[in-house]
Amino acid sequence: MSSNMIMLKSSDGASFEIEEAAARKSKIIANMIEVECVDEDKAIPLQNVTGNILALVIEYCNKHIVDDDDDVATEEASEEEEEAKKKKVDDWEAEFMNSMSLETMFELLLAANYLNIKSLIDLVCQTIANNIKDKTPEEVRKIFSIENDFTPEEEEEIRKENAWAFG
Amino acid sequence: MSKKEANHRSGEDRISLLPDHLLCQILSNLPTKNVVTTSILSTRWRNLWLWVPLLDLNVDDFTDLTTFLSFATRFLDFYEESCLHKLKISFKRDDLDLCPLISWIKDATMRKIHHFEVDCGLSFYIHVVPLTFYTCETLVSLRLHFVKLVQSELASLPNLKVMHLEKNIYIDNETVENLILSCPVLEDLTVIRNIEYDFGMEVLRVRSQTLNSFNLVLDSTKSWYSSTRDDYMKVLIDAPRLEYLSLKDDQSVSFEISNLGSSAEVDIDVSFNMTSLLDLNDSLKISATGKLLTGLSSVRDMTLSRTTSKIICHYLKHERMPQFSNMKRLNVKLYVSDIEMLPKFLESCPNLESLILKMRGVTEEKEISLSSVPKCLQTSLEHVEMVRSNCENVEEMKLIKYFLENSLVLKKFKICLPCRNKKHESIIVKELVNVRRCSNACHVIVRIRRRGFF
Repeated sequence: MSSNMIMLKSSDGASFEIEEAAARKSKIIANMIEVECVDEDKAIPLQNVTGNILALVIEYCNKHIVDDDDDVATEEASEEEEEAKKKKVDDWEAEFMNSMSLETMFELLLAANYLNIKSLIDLVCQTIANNIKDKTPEEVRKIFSIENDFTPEEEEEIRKENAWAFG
Repeated sequence: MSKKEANHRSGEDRISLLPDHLLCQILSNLPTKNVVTTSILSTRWRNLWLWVPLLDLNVDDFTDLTTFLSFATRFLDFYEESCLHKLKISFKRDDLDLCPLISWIKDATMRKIHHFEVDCGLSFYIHVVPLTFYTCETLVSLRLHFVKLVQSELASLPNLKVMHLEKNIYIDNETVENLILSCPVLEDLTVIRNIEYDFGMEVLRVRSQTLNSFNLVLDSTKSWYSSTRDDYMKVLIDAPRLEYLSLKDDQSVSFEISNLGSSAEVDIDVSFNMTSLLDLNDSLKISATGKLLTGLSSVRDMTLSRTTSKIICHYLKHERMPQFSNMKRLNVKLYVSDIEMLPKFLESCPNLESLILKMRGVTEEKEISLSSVPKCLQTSLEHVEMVRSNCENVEEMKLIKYFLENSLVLKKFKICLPCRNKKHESIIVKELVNVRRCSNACHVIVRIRRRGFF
């Protein structure tokens, strides 16, 4: 495939080569390309993203750009094939999120936020929310190591305020 | 490195360090009950839930309606100035006095809300207080499930783009028609009708200058109600900007579609309330089929269900099809017994480029003959995909030969077939290799699925 490649440089100095089409998933980078801030020989420095997280972001972008291309190419794909393809992307996303720790997830979310990649922000937020869903506050505190800094009296008051939700 | 490791040390509260807007986005994936319980996690979380611009409440979670109303009203008041992104109310309990709830919902719809959903799961909702709509300036999407609706002449939903009406009760024909008319920028409409309760609306009339996508479902096979009703349900559609139309309706006896655009894609599964094969000869059904085909004749892309294609093939024995001169792509589920009608069908599609055939059924006693060669085979048909019912069917093989021998411009012919064993596979491949191909550029792709009969 003969598409433009661009270089990205992480905060800890690692360089990554990425297809322009994949990099455009990031609105920030797309804007930089638009206003021609991108020098062909120079890497774009991303001060807020470390190399290991940037590698994950690039993995996500590459995966999604390939799938978008496929959609155009096989217009006459049968329903079954299309469903199978959608399931494949969903499975990939589930596997991708499953493979990382919560800590990595938070860093990935901050990176996606900084780079402005909406679909990745949505994916990570949904995954973190799944860890909160239908859990008691005690369980949520344990999962995320949140320290309860309320006095017992304060806590009682908050429970009373919206007793219906704590029933 | 050591500093970084310290940051990564598990046991540190990383989530609370996220900026407010990201925490709110995480919380917006949860029902409100769950969101409210996060207020007790720590002081950082104390008031965050209030900033989630989304209210997703199940009335059944509250001990009584008063508690619900007091909470919900407080929340709405908090959002008085800014815009509530989404309001979703569900309830199932039938011991509630619904009047105050309905009036609260009515009040809520007059606030600044983008997305509004009401989901009523009552099993006997005949007595449910009907819902009316007035004016909601900010509403962009609306979903109503299992509610009773009456029309309101004053309704105005100037920004509504997406409307999903699912299994509601309508008092009369005008309720839905007027609701649609009160949305001057409506783009996406879904109407899923419930045959068990939905007696009030005989004619579904969809008139919209902006509608882009319309999805209708009226499926009696999924209900306990057996169809004994008279033929009176009708569908009228006049939406010139429609790009996508899906009709899955085995009850309505007539579909009048006017002003459909030339780039529209349609997915049709209708059967005009026919209950047996004998109905195929009913003159009213035949004229209804003709009317539907005329309404669809401008489309670019058409998908037909097995039942609908059976009805159309029968129609072709008596009548002529209108010309589908814009049609580029046709996707048909076809009975093997109707193969003979296919050339006649294709004669009405002079510019067809892509054809997908999904075969079903067994060979009939009589031998089929495929004589005429429609224009599209000579000038435009480039892709054919055939999903065969089984690998031993002689008629299907005849059809494959017909396409290969008569298509002048065919580029790709894909054949999917289920095969039980390797022996069959090699017979099929041999047979295909020996077919004389009319188009030199044609690639034949055979995909074998190794499984038994469906």
